Amino acid sequence: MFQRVFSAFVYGIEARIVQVEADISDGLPMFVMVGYLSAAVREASDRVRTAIRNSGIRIPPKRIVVNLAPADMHKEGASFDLAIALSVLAALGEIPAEAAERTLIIGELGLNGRVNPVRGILPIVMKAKEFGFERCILPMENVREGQTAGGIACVGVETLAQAMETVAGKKKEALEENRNSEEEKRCPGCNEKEEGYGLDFADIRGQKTVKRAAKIAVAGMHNLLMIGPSGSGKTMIARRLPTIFPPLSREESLELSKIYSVVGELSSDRPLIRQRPFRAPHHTVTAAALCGGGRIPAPGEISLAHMGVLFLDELTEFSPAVLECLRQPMEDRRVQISRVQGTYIYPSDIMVCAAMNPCSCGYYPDMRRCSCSSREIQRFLRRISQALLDRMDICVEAPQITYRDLRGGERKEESSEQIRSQVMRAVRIQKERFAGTAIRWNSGIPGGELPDYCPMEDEAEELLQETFERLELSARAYHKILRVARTAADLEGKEKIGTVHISEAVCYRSLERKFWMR
Amino acid sequence: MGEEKLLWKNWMASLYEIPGPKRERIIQAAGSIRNVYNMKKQHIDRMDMLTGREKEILLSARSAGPQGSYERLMESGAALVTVLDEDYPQALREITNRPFGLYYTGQLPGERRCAAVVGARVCSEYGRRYAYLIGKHLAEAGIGIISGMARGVDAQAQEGALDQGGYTCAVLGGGTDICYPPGSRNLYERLRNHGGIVSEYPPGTKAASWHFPARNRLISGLAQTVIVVEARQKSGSLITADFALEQGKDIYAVPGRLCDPLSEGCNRLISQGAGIVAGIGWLLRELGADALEKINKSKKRENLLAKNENLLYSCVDLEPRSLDELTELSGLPREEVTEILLRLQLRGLLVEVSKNGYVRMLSEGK
Repeated sequence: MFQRVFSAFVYGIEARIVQVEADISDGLPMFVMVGYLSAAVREASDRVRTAIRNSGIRIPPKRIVVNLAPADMHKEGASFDLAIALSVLAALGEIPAEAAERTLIIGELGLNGRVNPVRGILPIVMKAKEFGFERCILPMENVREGQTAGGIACVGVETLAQAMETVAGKKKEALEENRNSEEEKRCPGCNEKEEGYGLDFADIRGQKTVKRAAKIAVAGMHNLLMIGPSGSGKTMIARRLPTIFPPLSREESLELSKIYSVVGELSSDRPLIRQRPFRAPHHTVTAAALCGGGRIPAPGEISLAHMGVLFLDELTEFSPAVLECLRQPMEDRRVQISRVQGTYIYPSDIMVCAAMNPCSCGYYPDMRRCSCSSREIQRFLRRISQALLDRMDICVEAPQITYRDLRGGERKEESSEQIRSQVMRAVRIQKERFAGTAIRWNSGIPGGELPDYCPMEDEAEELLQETFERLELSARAYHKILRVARTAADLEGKEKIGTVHISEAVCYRSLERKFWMR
Repeated sequence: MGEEKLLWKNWMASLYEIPGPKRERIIQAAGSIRNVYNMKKQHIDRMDMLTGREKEILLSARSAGPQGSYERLMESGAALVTVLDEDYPQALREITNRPFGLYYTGQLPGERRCAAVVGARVCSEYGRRYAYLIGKHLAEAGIGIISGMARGVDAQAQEGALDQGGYTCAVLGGGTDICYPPGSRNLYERLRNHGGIVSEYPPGTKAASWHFPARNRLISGLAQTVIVVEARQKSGSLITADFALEQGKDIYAVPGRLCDPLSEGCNRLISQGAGIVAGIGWLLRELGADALEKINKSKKRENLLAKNENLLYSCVDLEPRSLDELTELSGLPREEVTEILLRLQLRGLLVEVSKNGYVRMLSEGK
C-alpha cells in the first residue's frame, strides 16, 4: 500500500519541500530507501524502524520502500526521520493518511521514539507557509521558533506517539492552545519586550570625533576604520554601534533569524533575533569561517553579521588573503559559495567596522614615543591592500584619552537613544530619496549618479574643487567625500550639501598611504 | 705612473675591501696596475703592508681577471674616476683613507661648494621640514647638497635641493645601479637625471650594514660643511659628524628641545662646539652666501586670516595635534574647526601629516 507525507530540508538559507513516499508490499522483508540520499538520511532507516518498534507498533515482515522526491536533489540532514516514520505508519494503516495531507513534518527520531530538535526550522516553516500548507508538526523544542513565522499552525511533539495522535486529529486542542494571545497572532515572537543591548554611547568619554564619525557611518551605512593606540576606546565604540542603528523591522528580523536558524543559534528563549548583530571574529579567522564554507556550506561571520556590524579588531593582524575575501561580499552585499552539487547564496548586508594601531607600538606619528623603525611602520600598513582601504568610506583617528576626558564631569555625553533618533531621520530621508531605485543607502550611490543625488551649494562646490586640486585627491576619494558629505547633510535635514559637510567629509577621507611612506 | 686603461683601473677599484691608500702604495711599488696583476704569488706573499685576508682578496681577484667586473661596469652605465685621474674630487684627495675609485652616475660635485645635510631616518615633522628648507635655500644660494638618500632628513634635504633646481648628490652604501632604500625609487631617478649618485662600491654590490659608516666618511669628505638636522644619541649622523671633525670640516647642528630624544645627538654636538643653526638666513650668511631678502614675508599673512582662523592656527603646533585636541583648545564648535582646518590646509598653512594629525607648515624664510 502506498502513502505519502511532506517534509523539507534546508538549502543555503532557503528550504526545499520534499515528498516522502512509502510503499509496503509482499516480498522479502527489507527496508529500502531511495532518492539521492546522503549518509545521514540513509541511516534514518535504522532509527525509524527502532523508534516505531519502541513506540509499541510491530512492523510486519514485508518489503518496505521509502522514496524521497524529487529524486534529483541531494538530501542532507536528519530532519526527515519523523516524516519517514509517519509515511511508513500511514502505509501500514496505523494512521489515516488523508489527515497528513497539507501537513509538513520535521523532526529527528531517537531510538526510544523521542522527537529531537533540528536546525533550520524557521526557513522551513516560512517555505511551508508559502506553499500553502496548513500546519507543521515540529519537535517541541523548535515550536516557538516555528511560530515566529506567523500565519501557519505549528504543533510541537515530543514523541512519535504524540505525532501519530496529532496527525490523527486527536490533539486538536493543542493546535488552538498554541496561538492564544492576540499579540502572538499579530506578531509572533515579538511579545517579549525588545531586548536592550545593555550598552550605551553615553558610557564613552571623550573621543568626540570618533563618535561623530560613527554616527555618520551608521546613518549612511558607510564602512568605518578607526586608527589609534590601544586603550583609546576603539572596541568600546564599535560594540555600541548596533545601539544606534534603526530597530529591525519584522521582515528584517525574520530574514536575519533565518540565518541564525540554519546555524542552530535560535532557541525557545530567543526564537526571533530582534537585535542588530555585532560579530567580532578573532583575527585568526579563516576565509571559510569569515565568508562561509564547508563541504555543505554554512553561513560565515559576514552573514551572521547581516544587517549589523562586522567588527575587525586589529585589522593588520588578519591574514591578507582572508581580508581580500571580504571585498566581493562587501560590494555585492551577499556571498555566493559554489559547490559541485549547487550554488549557495547567503546575504551579507553589513557595515564593516575595523580598528587598527598606526604601528606595532601604537604611537606613530608621535616620533618621541614611537619606537618603530620606518621599515616596520611601512611593513605594518602594507598588510592591508589598497583595495580594502578604498572600501573604507570613513577613516578617523582615535587619539589617546586624556585624564580630563575620563573625568568628564560637567559635560553630558550623548546617549544612544539620542543618536539613534538622529540616525533614523537621516535613514527616512534616504528611503524617500531612493524610493523606486535599487539604492538603499548613501554609501551605495553609484559614481555616475552622484551629481543628481548630491546637489551642492556654490560655495561648497568651489571648496571641493580647490580641495581636489590642492590635496591631489583621486576620483575614488572624491566620490567617497561626496557620499559622506551627503549623509552629513541628511543628518541635519539639509537638501543641499554645504561647506561644513564637505570639510567634515574631507576630514574623514580614507587613509592615504603617504602617511606611512615617509 | 703612466696612463692606465679603464679596464685596469676598474679592476683595482673593485677591490674595495683593501683600503684605498694601500692600493695606491702597491701600484707605486709595482709601477702600474697591470704589473700588480702580473705580479708573482711569492711577491704578493712578501708584501708586509697587506694583511693575510687582503692578500687572499688580491690573489682571488687576480685569478678572476679584470674582464668580469669591467663588463658589469659597462652594463650599469656608471662612470669611474680614480685617484690617478685629474678629475678625482679635490675635496676627497685631502682625507685620510680616501677611496681609490669612485663610481658615479649623473654628475660629480666638481669644483662647486657643497654642504652635507644628514639626520635621522625616523624624524619628526620639524626635522623633515627644516631639512627640506635647508636643502632648498642652500641650493638656491648655489651650494650643493651631499647626503645619503636615506628616508627622513636625508631624502628631504635632497628633495628640497632638486625642487629648487640646485645640485645634489647621494653617496650610497652599495653599487650606484641599486636603489637603496628601495622605497626611494622616485628620488633615485631624480638624482640620476638631475644630480649625482656616487659610491666607492662597484656596480652590482648590495648595500651592507658595514658599508654605511665608511660611506659616511665620503658624505662629509665631499662637503665643506656638515649640517646635522635631527639625530638620536646613537646615530649614523654622529658618525658623519666625527668624520667631519677628523677631516676638519665645519659642523652645524639644528637645535631641538632638551626633552626630545630625536634632538639629543644635535644638542650634544652643540655642547661640544658645533655651530648652532639659528635660522636659515643666518646659516646662509654664516656660509658666506647671500641671505635672501624674503624673510619678512610671513608677517603680513596673519592679517589675512579671519579671527577664528587665527585662533585655530595658533593652536596648531609643530607636533601633530588631533581633531579633538584642536576643538578642545580652540573652544570652537566642531563643524567650524573642520572647515577652518580645511581652509588653512588649502592655503598651505597647515599640513595633515597623519590621519587627523595636523601640524603647522613652517614658513619659508624663518
